[in-house]
Amino acid sequence: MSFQQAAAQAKLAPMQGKGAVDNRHRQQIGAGKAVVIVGSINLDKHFQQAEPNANRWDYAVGFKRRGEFLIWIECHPASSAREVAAVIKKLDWLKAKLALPEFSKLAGLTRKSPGDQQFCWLYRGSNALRAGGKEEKRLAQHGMRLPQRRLEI
Amino acid sequence: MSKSKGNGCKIRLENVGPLADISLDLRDLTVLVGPQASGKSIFLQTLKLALDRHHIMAFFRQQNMEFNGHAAAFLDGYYGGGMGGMLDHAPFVTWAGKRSSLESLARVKKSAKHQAERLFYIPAQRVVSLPSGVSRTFAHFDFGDPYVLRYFAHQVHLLLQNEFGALTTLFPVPQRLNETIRKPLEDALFGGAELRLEQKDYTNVLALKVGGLPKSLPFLDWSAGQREFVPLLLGFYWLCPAGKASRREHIEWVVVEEPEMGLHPRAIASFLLLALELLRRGYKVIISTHSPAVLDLVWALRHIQHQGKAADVRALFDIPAGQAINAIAESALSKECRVYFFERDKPVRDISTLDPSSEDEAVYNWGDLNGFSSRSAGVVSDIISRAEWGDAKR
Repeated sequence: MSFQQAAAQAKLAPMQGKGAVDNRHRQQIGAGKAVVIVGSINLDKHFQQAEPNANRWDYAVGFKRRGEFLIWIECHPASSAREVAAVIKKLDWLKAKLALPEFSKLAGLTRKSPGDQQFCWLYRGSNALRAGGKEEKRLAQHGMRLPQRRLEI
Repeated sequence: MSKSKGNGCKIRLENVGPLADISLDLRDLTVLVGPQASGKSIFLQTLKLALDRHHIMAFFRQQNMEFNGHAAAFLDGYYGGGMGGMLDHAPFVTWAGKRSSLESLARVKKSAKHQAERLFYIPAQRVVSLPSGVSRTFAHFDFGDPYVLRYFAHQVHLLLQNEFGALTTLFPVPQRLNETIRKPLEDALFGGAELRLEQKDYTNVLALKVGGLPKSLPFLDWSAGQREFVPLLLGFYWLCPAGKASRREHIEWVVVEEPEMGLHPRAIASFLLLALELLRRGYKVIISTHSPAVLDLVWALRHIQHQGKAADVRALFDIPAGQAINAIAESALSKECRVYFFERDKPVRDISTLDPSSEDEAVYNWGDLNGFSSRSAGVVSDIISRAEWGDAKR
């Protein structure tokens, strides 16, 4: 199953490569030698009108590496411990979407993801979340790692 | 003095024990982290030697120990048995811009001018200074026991048998330490118990008077943390004399090794407040530690100094505004901090930024003090991910 097919099932319109990712975030996402980024979806924009007050997740990025997979990326500040709660709310929103029948193919690609994380928090600017702190543990309990400046798929 | 930019002093050690070639810039508060046997204690003892060799030699002499210019024998007596062998590797120390061989530092002429002590050292083995709650003199130890331990024990002995000899209660007492500092110690360390000096067989013995118990608790019935902390407290008493003098004028530097031993994090926080009080009194403080709580203080201070205010220091210790805490907080805002990471067979590294965003593992994992905690979070994150999204090829 391809990223395009999975996105089509969810009635989402992917763009080529990192096209759906805002310019300011694009350079934070890189691809290894054996990886091709096949497309991206801006969920935040897509659901902006329908769910203006929801804690919407930012992006899905599809990639090829001996098969097609995806990773979910949230670009969010890390300048305060309070941001952890905000990102977890966004993750809950995303997981609720992935539980819907029309998102089943995207959920399937998420399950197959070969990377070390399915949900990645990228930040710019300062980072107030230290390794070993309670915020790292809180994120871990939701299956997430500490925010990163850059993601190499 | 080898002044570096700001308020620091540079020191370099070459071929001193396990330390091949290290340079540190010591500031108002310097914290050393690193695994066991990475050279932190040897570094600190060598710093003491570089600063106080005349005082050390005079004290040995006062104790009827004369090395007659034998540097190796002196080093055996100073660092501990067998350490004189370090001289085979041509060790050097550079301090105050002057490079000296360790051998020359270990040879002091009898005619050398007496110098006041400049560095007060509270060693990791401090609990040994009070076996069964009774203090020991320098001479009670064996040749080859580290000088810094023997000397510290001797100072505690003088305090207990002379200066405090007439007192019955040592803690809490209003003449020593402001209530702002005393109260957290009472809560975290002593739980309302009184530290007392009682007479037994014509000797002053430390005991804890716990409310409701007819007799005081002897030393060996105390908690491990209380036994570890009391010598540290006595060291602080020595550094913060009662009366008008706020400090020992001749002492510039205070070394505290592993203050966290046996202590709950709340008690460690109380110690950190004491450390800030030492800084306020004008001492430069060097702490070697395995506790991330000490680095938490440095990390928070960096941010408070950059963007915060004195009230944030109070918040850090959860203490309401007051004259004493305000003075400690204001002083902390102006203090420079450094953190160094010692690793076996590697150069010592400056990890002072403690920046979680750093690409350098030693920096973001705080000299590996957070390494295990972070790995445990990584493992839990993987487990949750697997449970929710299946066991992919991760």
